[in-house]
Amino acid sequence: MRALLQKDRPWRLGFLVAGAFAMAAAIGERSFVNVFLLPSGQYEALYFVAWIGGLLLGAVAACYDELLGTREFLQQRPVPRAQLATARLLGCAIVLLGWLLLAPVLAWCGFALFDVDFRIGPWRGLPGLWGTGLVSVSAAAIGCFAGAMPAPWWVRLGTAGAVFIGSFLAIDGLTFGPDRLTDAVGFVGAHVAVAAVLFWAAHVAMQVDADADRPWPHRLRLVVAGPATLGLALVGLMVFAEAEGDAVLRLHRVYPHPVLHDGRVLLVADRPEPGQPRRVVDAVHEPVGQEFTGDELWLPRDLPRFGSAFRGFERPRWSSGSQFSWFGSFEARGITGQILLGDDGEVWWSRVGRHGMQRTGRGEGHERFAPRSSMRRLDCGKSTGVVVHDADTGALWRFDAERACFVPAPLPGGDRFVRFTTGGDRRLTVLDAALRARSEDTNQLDLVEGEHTLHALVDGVWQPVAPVSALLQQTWPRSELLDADPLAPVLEIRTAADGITWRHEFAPHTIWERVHAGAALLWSLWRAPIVQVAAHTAGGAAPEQAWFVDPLVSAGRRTWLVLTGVGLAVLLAWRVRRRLRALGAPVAALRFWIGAVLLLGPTAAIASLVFERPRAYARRALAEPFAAPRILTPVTEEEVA
Amino acid sequence: MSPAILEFDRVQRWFGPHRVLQGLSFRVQPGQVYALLGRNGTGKTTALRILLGFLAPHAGVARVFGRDSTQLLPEHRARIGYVGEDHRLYPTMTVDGAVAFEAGTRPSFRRAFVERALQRCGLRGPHRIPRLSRGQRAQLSLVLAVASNPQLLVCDDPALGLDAVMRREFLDALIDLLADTGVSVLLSSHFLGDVERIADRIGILHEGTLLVDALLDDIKHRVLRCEWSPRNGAVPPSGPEVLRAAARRRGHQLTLLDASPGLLADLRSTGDLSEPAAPTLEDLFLDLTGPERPGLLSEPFDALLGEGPR
Repeated sequence: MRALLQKDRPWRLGFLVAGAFAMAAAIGERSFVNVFLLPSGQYEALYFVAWIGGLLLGAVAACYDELLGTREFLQQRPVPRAQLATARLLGCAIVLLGWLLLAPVLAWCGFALFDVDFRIGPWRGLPGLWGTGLVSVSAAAIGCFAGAMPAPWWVRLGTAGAVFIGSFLAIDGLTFGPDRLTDAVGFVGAHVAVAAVLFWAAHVAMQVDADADRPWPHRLRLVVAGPATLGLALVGLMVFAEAEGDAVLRLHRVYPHPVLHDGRVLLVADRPEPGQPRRVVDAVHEPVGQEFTGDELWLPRDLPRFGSAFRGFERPRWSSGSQFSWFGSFEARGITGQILLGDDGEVWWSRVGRHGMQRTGRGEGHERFAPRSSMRRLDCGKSTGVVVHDADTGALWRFDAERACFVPAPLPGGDRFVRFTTGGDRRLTVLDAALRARSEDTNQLDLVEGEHTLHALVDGVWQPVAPVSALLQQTWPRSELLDADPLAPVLEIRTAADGITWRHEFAPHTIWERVHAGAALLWSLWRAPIVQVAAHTAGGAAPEQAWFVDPLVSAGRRTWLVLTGVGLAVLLAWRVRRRLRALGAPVAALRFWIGAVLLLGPTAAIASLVFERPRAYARRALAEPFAAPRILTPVTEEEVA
Repeated sequence: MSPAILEFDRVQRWFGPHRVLQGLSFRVQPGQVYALLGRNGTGKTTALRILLGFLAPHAGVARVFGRDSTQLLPEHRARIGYVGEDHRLYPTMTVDGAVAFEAGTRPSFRRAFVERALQRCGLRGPHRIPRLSRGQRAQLSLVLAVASNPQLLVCDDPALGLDAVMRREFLDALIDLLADTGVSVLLSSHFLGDVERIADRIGILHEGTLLVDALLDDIKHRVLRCEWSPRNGAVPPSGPEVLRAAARRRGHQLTLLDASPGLLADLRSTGDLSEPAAPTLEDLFLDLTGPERPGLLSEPFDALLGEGPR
């Protein structure tokens, strides 16, 4: 084992050094404050460097001897194949461990040398860095798995792409919560699981020689073709969901729009041709001969959203990050600076012109605020101030630059904090007049909305601006989805001012509506049957999960569509079985692929075409006897002796 | 009969639609040096890869030390030395590193022998592998392959790419290393002169089948070559005794196998027959594996000019 590890030292050392420095540079792209002091919890550059480096590391580890042409030179020695594979994976593990340990240390040293805010002590950023860097492990497993496949280069590259995109986007989609934060346990667990499964599969694959003229052993089919097919199926899910979502979006665009006209709600269709007037339509979207004049009030039409799986290869978000604010007080001896409130409630501040961050907090004791407290700079009057709303107590605290700490700033009249709001909001136009006297730019007004009154912070003192009831008078009509089916949503609109309640059941009636709805249904058919059945029996899902849980069939909708999808899978499975039987594939292969197609649908059928090639099953044995050599010396006892 | 060190038993192998080996069968006895000859693409390397378990046959079986080559265990591999055709060594290593790697992956390794052999070849420990000449790499590969005291040495065209001097040095080293060790050798090569120096038995592989599987001495005794100029329009003889009858400027060049006195008497009576002599291995190889259809080099030059034989 030692000799084998020694043999792999060049790539191991190269990757360890280059990767550790690249990851350290990626960490150093943020400041010390954002990484260690008040961790932002989002390390985009590190995320990209980690998965790119991991993929390369895994691929090189798996293909090193193949690239050097020393594969057979290595295999001919008396070392079990399993040991050769273990040595490669061990080398990979050493590099990955080195990356996770060295990169933060190197970054920390870099901050020590170059960042004015550096100080020894805060290590809260490490879990986030390790969590983000963990993608290098799963990416390395993917690279290793694909590189070790005994298959042509194009299959390996395709598998790497499918498994990478499939697993990363799936993990991203499933662990990215509605609060726009990543579920740490789910993310780490999923990446570790992917890494464990694929490293094991790579270990198995490394022990088999590539031979295009023979079918794979069944174990290899299970261990290698299985995950590759699953990756392809995940990519298929996303692609089909994306196409389905696009069709749904087009359908929503051609659906008519509700408008308020003479106290009545009408439906207005899109222009049939550019330049032509919009026409009013009836409940089945047929024109009623009335044209849209243009002075109607457009009502909100919030049809069901269809989220995309392609949020992009974004870094995980461990926290909402630190809240940053500048402060300035032109009348308070010219003290200006910046304040940072961490997600965990810790606050640091620094004055312009002075190096280094200083800790601050509630009162002279600099106590930490409750986690997830919010901070806002309030511009009004001739000074700017910073206010923190403590998430636990609900109290407001104002930063006092002269005392370098936050001091209590309760709202006058016993009013209670509701939220921070802004003067630029359309609903607050009524307030403009009241505030204009105090600020020249009403769009920059930041206020606190109390239960009774809006408050502005003017020169460090709360001043009531206008009663909240002024806002309520301008209530905008509200729309509500009674049925969130993307093809046939039911919408209800209420206008408080006019007392109107209007309801409409959208359904594809016109040609274009039917074309787009039909396209969405067709794309839905190609999704994996097992996922469709699960979505059908499960309840509805968030729009962000639409790539996985098809809203067209979720919560018991369209049983016929699910059954048609299952029928399509059965048909494909029959075709796959017929093809494999014609090739002469063993029963185990037939069972594997039939099962895969029934569960995963068309993408598994495509995978069977890739992994079960006719060449491997060609019947080849020649009939005996063979021609004897023309010159033959029979082996004699003397020769043997 | 005692078990052979290695044995090919009706081995067949395809690459896509191409048949590379068609029922290859031969055995190598303990202590024997077997040279597998053949033109490019006739399946020599494929046969060796099957033997070493890097490739599985489509039919038939190859056995090493009596075990199916597709199921070789580390203890079997420990008894095999291998020199590849391009003398692959890790380009990131030094000579010392290569020796250490070999020693670390073999159960037995004769370090003292290696040091002596390297000294004799002029190879020094700190030399980096990429800086070695092809000849030095070949010698180093050979030394490393033999250092583990193998019972079977498999060399896949080890002299390929070496110039005449390097080839001679490599061959000398091989002969030195093999002396008195009793190791069996399976060697594929294009250099027939070299093979004649070291081989006990040769196999000539052509289009996936063995044309010759014979002791070298036996070939020298049984195969004769002569020039025959027919008289009165006599045609060259045919039959199992005639391996090849190639048209020449004056008559034919005949290659005969186990020629009977009667056949020679007939040839003398129907034409002028030169004194039959044993052909060189290269001549025999060309006679057996040369193109069946007349090519540029197999036709009389005059015939190419349209004048015909005089």
